[in-house]
Amino acid sequence: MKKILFTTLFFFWLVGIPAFSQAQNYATLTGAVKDSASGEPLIGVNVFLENTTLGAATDMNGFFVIPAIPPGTYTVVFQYMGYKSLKKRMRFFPGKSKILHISLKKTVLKLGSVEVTAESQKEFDRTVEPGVVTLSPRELQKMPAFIESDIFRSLQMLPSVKSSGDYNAALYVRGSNPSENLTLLDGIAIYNPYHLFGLFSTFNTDAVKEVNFMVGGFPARYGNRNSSVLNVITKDGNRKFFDAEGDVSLLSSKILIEGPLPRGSFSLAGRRTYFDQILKLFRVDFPYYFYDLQGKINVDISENHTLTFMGFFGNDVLRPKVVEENSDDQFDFHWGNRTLGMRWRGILRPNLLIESVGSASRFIISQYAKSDDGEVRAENSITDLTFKSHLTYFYGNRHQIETGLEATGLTFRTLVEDQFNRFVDIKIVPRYAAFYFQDEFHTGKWTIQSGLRLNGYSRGDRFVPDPRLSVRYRLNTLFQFKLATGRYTQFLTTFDLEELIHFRLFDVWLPLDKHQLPIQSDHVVLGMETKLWPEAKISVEGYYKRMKNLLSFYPSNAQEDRNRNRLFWSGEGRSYGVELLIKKNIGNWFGWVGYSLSFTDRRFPKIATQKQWFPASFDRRHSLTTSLAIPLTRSIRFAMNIVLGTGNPFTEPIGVVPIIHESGGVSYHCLVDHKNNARYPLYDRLDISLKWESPKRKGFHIQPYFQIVNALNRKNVFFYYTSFEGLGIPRERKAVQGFPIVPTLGVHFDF
Amino acid sequence: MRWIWADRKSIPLILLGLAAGVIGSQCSKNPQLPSIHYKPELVVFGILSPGSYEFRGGINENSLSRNFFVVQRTYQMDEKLVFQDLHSVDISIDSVKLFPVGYVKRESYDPNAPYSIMVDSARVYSFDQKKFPIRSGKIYTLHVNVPGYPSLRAVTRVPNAPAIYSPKDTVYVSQKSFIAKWTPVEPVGGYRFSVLVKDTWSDEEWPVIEDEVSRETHQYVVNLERIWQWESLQKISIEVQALDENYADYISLRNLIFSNCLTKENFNVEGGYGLFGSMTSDKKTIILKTK
Repeated sequence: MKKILFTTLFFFWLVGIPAFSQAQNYATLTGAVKDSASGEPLIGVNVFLENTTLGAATDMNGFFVIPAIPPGTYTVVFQYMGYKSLKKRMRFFPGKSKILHISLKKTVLKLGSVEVTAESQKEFDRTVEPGVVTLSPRELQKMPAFIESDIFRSLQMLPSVKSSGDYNAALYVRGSNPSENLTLLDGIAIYNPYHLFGLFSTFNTDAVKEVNFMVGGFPARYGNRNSSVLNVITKDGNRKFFDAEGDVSLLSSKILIEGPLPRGSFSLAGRRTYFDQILKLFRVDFPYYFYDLQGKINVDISENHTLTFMGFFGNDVLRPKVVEENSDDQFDFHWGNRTLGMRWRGILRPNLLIESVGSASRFIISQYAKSDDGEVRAENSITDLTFKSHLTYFYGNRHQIETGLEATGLTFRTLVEDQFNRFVDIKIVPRYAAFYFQDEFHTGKWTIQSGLRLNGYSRGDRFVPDPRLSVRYRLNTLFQFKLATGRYTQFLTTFDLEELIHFRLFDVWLPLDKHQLPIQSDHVVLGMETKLWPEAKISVEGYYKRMKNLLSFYPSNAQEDRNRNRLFWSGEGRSYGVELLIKKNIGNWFGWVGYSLSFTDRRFPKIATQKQWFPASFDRRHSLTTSLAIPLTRSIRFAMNIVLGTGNPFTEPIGVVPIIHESGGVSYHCLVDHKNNARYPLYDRLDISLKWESPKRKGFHIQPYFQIVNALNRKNVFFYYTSFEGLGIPRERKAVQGFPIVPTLGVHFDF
Repeated sequence: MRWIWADRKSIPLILLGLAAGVIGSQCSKNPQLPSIHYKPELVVFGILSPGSYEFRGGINENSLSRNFFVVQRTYQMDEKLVFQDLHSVDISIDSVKLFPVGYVKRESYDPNAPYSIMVDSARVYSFDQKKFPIRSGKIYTLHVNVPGYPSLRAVTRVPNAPAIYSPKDTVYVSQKSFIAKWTPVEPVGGYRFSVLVKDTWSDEEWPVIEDEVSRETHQYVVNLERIWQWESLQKISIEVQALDENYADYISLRNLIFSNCLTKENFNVEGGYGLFGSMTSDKKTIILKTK
């Protein structure tokens, strides 16, 4: 029955959308905007008809559509920060459409007040749903970083995101676990976006064009995750000439090469750490490194259609020397992501845009050990084969209809074998499919975006509808209010051992089985945005999130639970709070100040110690973050990060309890108060950086930088641990410190 | 070199950022631990069960058999872990006062005096099991008062007794396994199933299989291959214990793989820690035949 329903929906999706007819009395302007120097599509260019209310902003692919233009002659204006505005006089006829491809030229950054206002208006208008934050390469690369710039570390500076500690780049968004974030690299799901046990993210910032982060209440296009969507969009590659840029830091070197192809462009970026090689010079064995390589080839089939081939390959390698040098013993441990994808984006009709992606993504953890006794190989992997297609249709001047489908085949594989036998070979092959439909309706001061996502999951034959709604009310050009609500459903989970081991090694993904209900959350977000200050946006958002069927890894001892491999227990969660963000991304100095007051609780009724609501281990009650980049002179830029926040909760040992066993003996157990009853001391950290931005000479441009993480050398607590004596008798509590003071230097270059 | 950062519009945000920095710099601290000094609380252990049981409290025979109670207290983290001899312990079940019947004792190496053995002991309390018989299905309340400590109160409802109805008296070992089944009982928190064999050098039985079974399940598959030298055994005993909620919770918790730390929620005792549980049981001898 459900298959029939999905097939019917698919049929309507294929034939239904183009069947809408555009009103015959109006014209439509469709087009794409690119950078004149590189040919790179520009995201968020403000395109409008002068002296009218008609206009649009370019999407992720640089496309725009202005529907329902009354016949007549207009001046079409293209405005984008840092680019010279362009005006074009055009005549529109009833029922006729025009397609226009425009290239904008870069200008020296000296903005007049009109342009600044238009730019901030664009940022102000771009989304209906609240909680959307966009980070540009400028913001990613010019802020202080831990050794090198990192997307996740930058996102941790936003008020919606909490961290579980200095040595963990994972994002805890509005009370949800990192496994509930959908991380996309050019639209392809990445399952383990970390390097070096969670210290860094996988993404090479040199290759990034824009980071789009939706922290809640996201539209029907996205699903199978409960919390947030992080879409990392990489550069297409320079369509005009060859270009290279790179970065040499104490941790790694990275390089990006881009250039034109006969009918398109390419970009290729790579990075490798060299701690292992440097330490080898000092005869210190550090048997770990990571590397990643990503590439993109764009083929312009026609002016309106582009095919993109994408690939990403990242690996962490741990290869310790096991025994004495002359031995043949080997131990090899590596884990990483591999993705391949193809995307087609195009203008099917002047009012109909398409984007389709076919991708294969795999995260694999592999161990190999060889000794005189033999060889053992163990492997755990998740493979994702996805096809998704998204249509955007402009109907009249009031409706923007988006619809799409997504079909994913997942394979989870665990393998343990030696040279003779295969001891474990578990293969689980669940299927996930979704169909969604969304209408964005504009009327006067109101914009209403209503959508429905239908999720289907093969294990347990689940069929779950997720309704979504976002409303924007614009009071005037300075104030707007936003509301978003919706249901979000997820069919995957990870082993979450952070509370026990404090470090994030890597994510081990598991599909829900037929006994487990899908993990769900309901979001309600209410926000107010203002641009009282033309160059900055101020937003205040309150949110409430209710989560159910959350899973906690907690092995049971009962026989039938063991027989069923029951490792998870379900529970519920709630999260609510208020966030303030003042963000200025225009002008010489830029950055943001964020504050959040948040409450995140969990409850697992079947676990004795977690029957009552308790604060989650990443529940940072108050958090104040500041990220600022300020030019001190024309060539020296100072930047700083300030983080000030309540300490995260932990379960405090308060003594020792004797347990007298009925079967004999006495054991002593560490005694704690209620779960997560105490908090670590206040957390504060100041990071600073100085960057010398030298003028370009003979096409070569170098930017040396110096930065200090934790410049005030605060001894923040990462976690406490209890030392044990004899047979597990707890005796003493000790603290592990967070980041020490870390000065680093490096050079960024391009030519 | 011209300093350009201080344009007028930047000033408020820069000041705000610097203010946050100043606040941060004032909140200096080190990761030294605050002293943890909690007032000790009482700990009680005891399990009620219908029938009469004998107390055996020799050196290192400190296991508690049914209907015997020990009262102790919690320790500070840095305190010496020896049994505490608490004075003026007032312990009762319903209105029946318990009285001391002996000590559980243990011997261990004294860390302060090398090569010497230290013996410490804890007082054990019980009641006259003939005058105050424990009955299935009945609710009992335990009260413990010790001067200087918060009072303890705990409640248990004794489960009805299960009855093993399968297998019959004989099992053929060629099957290598058999299913034990018992009648479901209420109220119950769970079951514990044991297979016991006799020592060759003494007449005592000891469990070779001991597993927890949830309250919804009333059977257990006995895999004879899990029993060492099972092919030479002529008989085994199987026992099913019906555990009340307190006892079942305590057992499942005690066996958890992770976390040595326990919290108040792990115990069903108001005002302190420990276990006041109850159980009933049925035991059956099974003859193992080769053909």
